[in-house]
Amino acid sequence: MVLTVRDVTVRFKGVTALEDVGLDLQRGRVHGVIGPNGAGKSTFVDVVSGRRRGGKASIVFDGENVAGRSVTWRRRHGIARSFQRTSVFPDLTVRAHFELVARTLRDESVDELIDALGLGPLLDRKCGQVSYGDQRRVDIGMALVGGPAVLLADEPGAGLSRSQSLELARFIRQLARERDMAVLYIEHDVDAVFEVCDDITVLNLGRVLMSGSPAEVRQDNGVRDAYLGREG
Amino acid sequence: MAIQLLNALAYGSLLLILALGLAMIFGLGGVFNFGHGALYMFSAYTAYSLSSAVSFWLALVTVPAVLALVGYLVDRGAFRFLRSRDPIELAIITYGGALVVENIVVMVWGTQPRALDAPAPFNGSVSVLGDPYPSYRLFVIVFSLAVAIGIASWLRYSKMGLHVRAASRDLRMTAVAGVDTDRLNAVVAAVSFGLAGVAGVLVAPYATVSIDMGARILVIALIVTTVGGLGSIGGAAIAAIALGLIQVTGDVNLPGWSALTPYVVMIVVLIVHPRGIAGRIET
Amino acid sequence: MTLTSEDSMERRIKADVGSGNRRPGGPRLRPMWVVKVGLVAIGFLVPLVVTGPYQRHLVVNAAILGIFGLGVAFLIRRLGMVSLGHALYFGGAAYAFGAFSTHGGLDIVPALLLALGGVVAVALAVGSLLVRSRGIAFTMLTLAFGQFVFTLAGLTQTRSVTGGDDGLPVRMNGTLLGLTVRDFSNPTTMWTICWAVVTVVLLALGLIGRSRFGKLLEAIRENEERVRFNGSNTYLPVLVAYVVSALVAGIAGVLFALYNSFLSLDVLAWTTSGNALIVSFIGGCWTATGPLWGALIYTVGNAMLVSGGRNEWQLYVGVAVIVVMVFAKAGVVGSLQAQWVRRRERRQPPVDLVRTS
Repeated sequence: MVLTVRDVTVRFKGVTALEDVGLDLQRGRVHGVIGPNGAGKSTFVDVVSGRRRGGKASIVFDGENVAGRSVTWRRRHGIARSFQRTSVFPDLTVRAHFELVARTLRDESVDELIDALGLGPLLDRKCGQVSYGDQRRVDIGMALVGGPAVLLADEPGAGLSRSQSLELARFIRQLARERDMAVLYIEHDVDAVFEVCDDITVLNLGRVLMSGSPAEVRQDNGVRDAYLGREG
Repeated sequence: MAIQLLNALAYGSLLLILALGLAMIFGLGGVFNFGHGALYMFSAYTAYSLSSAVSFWLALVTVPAVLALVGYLVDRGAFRFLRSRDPIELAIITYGGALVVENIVVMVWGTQPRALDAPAPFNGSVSVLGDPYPSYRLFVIVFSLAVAIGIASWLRYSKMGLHVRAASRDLRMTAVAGVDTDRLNAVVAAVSFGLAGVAGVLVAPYATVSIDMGARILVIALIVTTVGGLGSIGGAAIAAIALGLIQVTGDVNLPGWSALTPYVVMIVVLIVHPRGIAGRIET
Repeated sequence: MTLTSEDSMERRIKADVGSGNRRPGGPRLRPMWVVKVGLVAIGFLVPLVVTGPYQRHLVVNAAILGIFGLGVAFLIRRLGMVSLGHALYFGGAAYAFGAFSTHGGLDIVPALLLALGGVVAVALAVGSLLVRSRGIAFTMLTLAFGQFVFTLAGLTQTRSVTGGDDGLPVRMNGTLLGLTVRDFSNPTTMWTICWAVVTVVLLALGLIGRSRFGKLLEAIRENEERVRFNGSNTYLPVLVAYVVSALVAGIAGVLFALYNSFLSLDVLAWTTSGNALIVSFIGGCWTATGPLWGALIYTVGNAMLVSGGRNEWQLYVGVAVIVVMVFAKAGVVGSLQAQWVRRRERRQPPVDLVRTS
């Protein structure tokens, strides 16, 4: 278990956004989190990545509770995150994006990563000028520099077409396998989650509705009522 | 001591009126109005001329009203089209506006400082615990606090005030909820300009009227907004009076150095609250 | 209303300028360099064209104000942070230099170095408190800090050092590069010094901008949070940028003291900070040389319009600030450059600058 998350509770001014949410991430496996809008998926990623601190949470990474650590610390020690919306720097070239991170994290093998992402031909383009899909790749690519142990992918398929989103999901699974990396995969597109994830946690109204393999989750009546049923 | 306390209240209540006007515009759009001090100074000069020619009381009624109208028109006619701009750009535009207003005052009144006598019936003094005290200052305290309470009640109890408070939290959501935020912005600009007018007229018989009075007090009012505005009008009121008190008692006990107190207070607040200004209007 | 770097105005201004102020890479660079070296050389010859002593005085003033503007604009350009308190460093360096020379009896060189060292130390201390705030909050806090020092310098208690309202005549001892007080008050000599400093400052700021550090600053400006998620500390780089900007303002302040050998409290007032900001915005903060042109326009305009006892200068400046900010945010130089780039790039496919962030 590379990352064990327990007891995550977040309240915004009296409204409980998350209550006692927890899950485990293992190297080489993709753990999907699904749930309807407002279930608390993004808030959960915020807590695990360190964007939101304070409140109750136990986040044990390689045997150490990192709940009090900053975003920067977590990233440097192997917990990386990509964003729901593209968060690249529009006026910097694709190359500069990777250089920035590679230098901070002293990663010598960025070229390899750039090739794997297929971004080679775009290196000297400004990021604001490449396609949305490529911007997503840059965003995820930045998170992969330094070979993190954990990747928190917050709706990487947002804004992409269904087929693009599925392609990206498969790519992320491949990365998890090849790089022996644990992936927390948050996604709206349930089909993609069921296809690529090894484990799935279903959130509803800030609580864990259930957790298990894709097959178990698919057969669960509660999940169907709360979420899947509505999707048809 | 009572005298010092009253002086602090008088100075603090003027600061409060200025800070309220700044905080309202800031709370709504995140724009710091650098022209606020210039409007205050302009009002003081206008009050000086109107008082000499007709009556101080006429000035106290008309100057804020006219400024409010100007504020409404400026917002409707100009700032409405610039709403999408970065607040810093808008602040710089108001800085340009301040230069213009300041220059207009110089062109009309010259650079000589002016002094105005307190108007009847407040041109005498009353006895406070046996010491004579200028009654005009008492009037300033009562009038400013009444204005501040009026604004606070307006924000608290009126429908418009509710909308202003909501918009200060989230302008976009308030617009989505069906509130005409353009009109709201214009009304807030009107109230803010009007408040600068009130403070300017009130200060004319109280202190020397000079060209640099606006720029000097703007920074102090900004500090009040920052220190107290971390939440509320009540907070701003406490900050204004406290600053007034520190400064007035400091003038007696630590002449000179006391001028630094607002900045020291600000720096301390900054260390405790590094994100600085919250700028939300709540009552 | 959040005041994060995501709101940074440069983004929108960049949209105006297009992909303008970036040179295409590759061998086409070289002619640009020849032109630049040529311009630097021509700059030294300005006194041949500007012959009247008063006109020379004006261009020296413009250069000093322009260097000050470069310092202020650096923070705006790289981080989108607008300081309204840099008079603290401009006037502070001038007064420190003046005090070290006049009261301390130090020679020009040590006084100058101590003054600039002091600027760095103060900028580190003040900056460590300031740079956690962003947007308008930063602007307001810089204003408050500037006023703090201005007020301090005007107190009767500090009068023995600053000269208070009477001002401080600076007594300079010794020489700098063989030059004495008399040479510094000569606009022709001073122009050469100022132009050399302009060149060095432009080169240094340009190198910083193009370096990895500059890229990091740009990344922080565009999305600070993402930079933290890249594992970079964002506090220190912003602090360093703040100190660099303060140092440039301080250099301008020392030049001012050298040239005028008299200081008044005005150099510390927030209107002095405001002037640096105005020339930056009028010339254009988003181009390397914008503030210099802004300073030239400002200084020459002032001289032309304030002759004959008229007192409308502020009015023109105010109107100019409003007009530029409303209609040409990129400033005079930036807008012209954008025009030129647009014409040149007409054949290339349009660039989609609308972003979804």
